[in-house]
Amino acid sequence: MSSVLDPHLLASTRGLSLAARQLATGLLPGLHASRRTGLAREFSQYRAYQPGDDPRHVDWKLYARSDRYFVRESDVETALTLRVVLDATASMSQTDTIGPNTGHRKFDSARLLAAALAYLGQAQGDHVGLHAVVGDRVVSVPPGQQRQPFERIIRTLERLEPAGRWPADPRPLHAALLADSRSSADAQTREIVVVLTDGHEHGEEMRAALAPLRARRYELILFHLVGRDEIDFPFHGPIRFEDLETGEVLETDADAARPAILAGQEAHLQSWRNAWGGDGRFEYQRFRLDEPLDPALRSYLLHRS
Amino acid sequence: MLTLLSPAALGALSVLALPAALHLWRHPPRTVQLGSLRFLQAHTGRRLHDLRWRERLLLLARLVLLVLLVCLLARPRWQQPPARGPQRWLLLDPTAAPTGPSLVRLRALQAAGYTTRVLVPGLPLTSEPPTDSNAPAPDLWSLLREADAMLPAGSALAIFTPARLAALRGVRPALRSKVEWIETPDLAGNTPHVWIESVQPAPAPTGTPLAMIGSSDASVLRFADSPPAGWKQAARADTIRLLAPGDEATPWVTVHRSSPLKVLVLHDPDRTEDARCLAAAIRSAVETSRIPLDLHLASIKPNLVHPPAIDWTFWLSADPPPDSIETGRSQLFRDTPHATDSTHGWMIPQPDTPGAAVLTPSVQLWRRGPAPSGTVFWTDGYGVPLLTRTSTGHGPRWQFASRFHPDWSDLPHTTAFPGWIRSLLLPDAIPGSEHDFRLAAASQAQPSEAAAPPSLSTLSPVDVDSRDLHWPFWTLAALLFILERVLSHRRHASNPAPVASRNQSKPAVAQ
Repeated sequence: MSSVLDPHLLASTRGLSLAARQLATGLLPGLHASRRTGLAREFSQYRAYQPGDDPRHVDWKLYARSDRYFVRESDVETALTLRVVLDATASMSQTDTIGPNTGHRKFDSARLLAAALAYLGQAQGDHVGLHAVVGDRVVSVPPGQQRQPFERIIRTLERLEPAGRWPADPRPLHAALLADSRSSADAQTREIVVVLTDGHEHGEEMRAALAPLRARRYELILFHLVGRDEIDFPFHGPIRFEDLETGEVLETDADAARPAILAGQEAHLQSWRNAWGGDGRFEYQRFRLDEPLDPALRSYLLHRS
Repeated sequence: MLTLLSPAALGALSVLALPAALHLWRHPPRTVQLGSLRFLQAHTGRRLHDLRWRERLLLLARLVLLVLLVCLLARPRWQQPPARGPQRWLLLDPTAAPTGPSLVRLRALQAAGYTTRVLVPGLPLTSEPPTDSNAPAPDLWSLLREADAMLPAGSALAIFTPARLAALRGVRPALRSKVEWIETPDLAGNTPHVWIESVQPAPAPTGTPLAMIGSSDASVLRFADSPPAGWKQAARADTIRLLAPGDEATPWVTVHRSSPLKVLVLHDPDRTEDARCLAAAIRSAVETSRIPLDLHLASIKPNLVHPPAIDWTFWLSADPPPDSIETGRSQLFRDTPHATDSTHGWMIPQPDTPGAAVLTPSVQLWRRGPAPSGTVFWTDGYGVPLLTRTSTGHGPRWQFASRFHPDWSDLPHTTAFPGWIRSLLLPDAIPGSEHDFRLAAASQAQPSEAAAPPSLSTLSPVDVDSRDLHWPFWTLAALLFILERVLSHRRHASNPAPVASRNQSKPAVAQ
C-alpha cells in the first residue's frame, strides 16, 4: 500500500484535513480485524461468519441451533488515549534541497502525519490529543471526550508555525501531558504517545523531557524525522550555514565539512537509538521524509493492536 | 624577434589587476538553513577567510587574453634580428672600371666573403663590375653615409671608385666602418669627353653658328669657342657638329634662334644707384650664357606703358606697380622702399632654393623692411623672411624685404650677386655634372673614420624581415576568448543554483 502525497496538497494548510484523510483511509479497511473482539465482557451482537474470522470466535452453540456460523461480537472498552507530541520548534522549518520533498518544510510533513494519526485515532474511537511544543509554549488539544477531536486538532495544526527551540524546562510539557491524564482517565487507560520530532536538541533537553514518560504507563513511539539533506548533505563549495533555531551563522567549505558532519549525525542517531531502543514500550523509528508516510501510521496501528 | 611599434601601449597592462582582483575576491556564499549547526561546529576544517586565487585556469586564460589585446594595441611585429657582428661590404662605383691591381684586389675581397653592392640608391647586390660607360657619377658621400648607417659598428667597407669630382658633393662624411679606398680607372676612359655646351645663331645671316664647346677628362673641365686639339667642328647655316679625331662624328646639333631674355628695370628717379647695381649684375650674369639680353632701364614716370612680352620686371619704387604690370605675364620683382629695421643681419638662403649655393657664405645685411609673405627663399638669420615668392594667376611675384643698394646690404659688392641673379633669371643654364670627368686626388677623396653621429645608429638595416603579427594575435585572442567562455560556463554548471531559485522550480511529485 502506498499513499500518494501531493506536495501541493501537503504544502497548503487548507488541504491538511483532506490530505490526512487520504493518507489514513488507505489503512482503514484492514483495521476491522484489529477491533478488540472476542473475549466479551459485554455482548454486543451476532454477525454472520465471514472468511477470515477467527474460528475460535464462532458461536458453536448457535451453530448447533441454526446450522449457520455466527460470530459473537462484543464491544470492548478500548480505553486507549493517543497523544501526538509535535515538535514545532524552528528547526522543523528546514527544507530539503534535493529529493521528492524538495522545497517543503519538515514541519509540513510532521503536521500531516499528526493529522493523519488523529484521524486514524478518531476512526478507531480512541481519545486523541495533541501537544505541540512551540518554543517555550505547549499548545495542547487535550484528549477529552470531544465529539470531533480531529476537527479541533486540524484547526490547531493549521494555526501552528514552527518557532523557538525546545524548552530547557520540561515542566510545561509534563504538566500538559499529565494534567488531563489525571482528570480524565482511570488507571486502566492505555496511553500511547507519538512524538514527531527532528531530534535536534542543543543539550539533551528533549530526551530529558520525554524520559519521565517512560516511568509511567505511557507507551511511546518516537518518529525521528530526517530530511534528505541531512542524509546526503548535498552541498558543495563555500556555503553559509545558518542555524534555524539560534540564528547562528557559520561559513565553511561544504565538501571539506561533509565527512565530519555525516559522522556527527550518525553518532547522534546512534545515541538516540541507544537511549530509546530495546524496551518494548518505547519505540524509536528513524523516518525519512522523502519516503511515503504510511509506514509511520502502520507502525502506530501495530503498536495499538 | 618580437618588437612593438607602440611600446607605450603596454601601460594598458594595468588592466590585468582587474581579473586578478576579481579572482581574489570571494563571492558571497549561498546560504543554507540547517536545523542545527551542532555537527558543523564540531568540524574544524578549512574556513573561508583565506586569501587565495580561485579558478586559476580561468584566471590564467583571462590574463593571457588581456595581455594579447594589450600587445595588439602596441602593434607587434616579428623582425628577424639583423646579422650580428661586423659585416664586410664591397661597394662598386658605377663609373669604376677595376683593372689590373684593383681587379685583383676586387676578386680577392670577393673570395674573402665581401658582399658586392653597387653605389647607386638602394645599394643593390651585384656580382660583376659595371659596364655602362655613360653611367652618371653617384652621390658618393650620401651613399657611403647610407651604407655606413645600415651596418653595425666595426664593419668593413671596400670602396672601388675612380672618385670623380662630380661624385664628391657636399661634406665628406665621418664613418664608423673601416674603409678601404681602392682607386680604379674611370669607366669612361682617359680620352677627353667633348660636347657642345651651347650654341647660338650666327651674328651675321651668312655666318655659321657660334658654339660653346665643353671638354673634360680626368684633370680638366674646359669651355671654349673652339674644339680641343684633334677635334674638328663642322657647321652649316643652322646646325653644328663635332668630329672626333678618329673621324667619328657626333650628331648634328640644330641651332635654334632663341628669343632674347627681356628684362625691364623700373625705378624711382632717386634710386638710380639701385638700378645701376642691379643692371650690372644682370648683364654679367646673362653674358656668360650666350643668351641675348634685352635689358631696359627706365625711371618711373606717369603714363608708363609697359612693353609686352617682358620676361622679368624689377620694380624699384615706393609706389605700387600699375595694373598693366601687376596683371602682366612677366615675373615681377619688388623691393622695399623704406627700412623699418636696422639690426645687423645676414642673408640666409633656404636650402635647395635657386642660388643657395652661390650665396654661401652668407651676405651681410644692414637694413631691411617688413617681412613679406609667401614661400620663403631667404631669411635674415633671425628666422624673419627676407625674400619670398607668391604665385598669382599671372606669374610669380617676388618680394624682397631690402634693396640692391650698397647702404642696405653687402650684396651689390659681392661676386655672388651676378651668380645669384643668373640662377634666378636662367635657372636651367647651370652646367650639369654629367660632363665633369675630372677625378679627385685620393687623399682628397677618402672619407675619414670617426664615430658616427648617434642618430645614424637608429636607422634600420637593410634586408630586415619584418612581419606584422596583427592576425596571429587576433586569432590567438579569439581562441583564448572561446576557452575562457568554456571554462567560465563549466564553472557555472558545476556550481548548483542557489536555494531560492530551486524553490521556484516546479517541485517533483513523489510516488
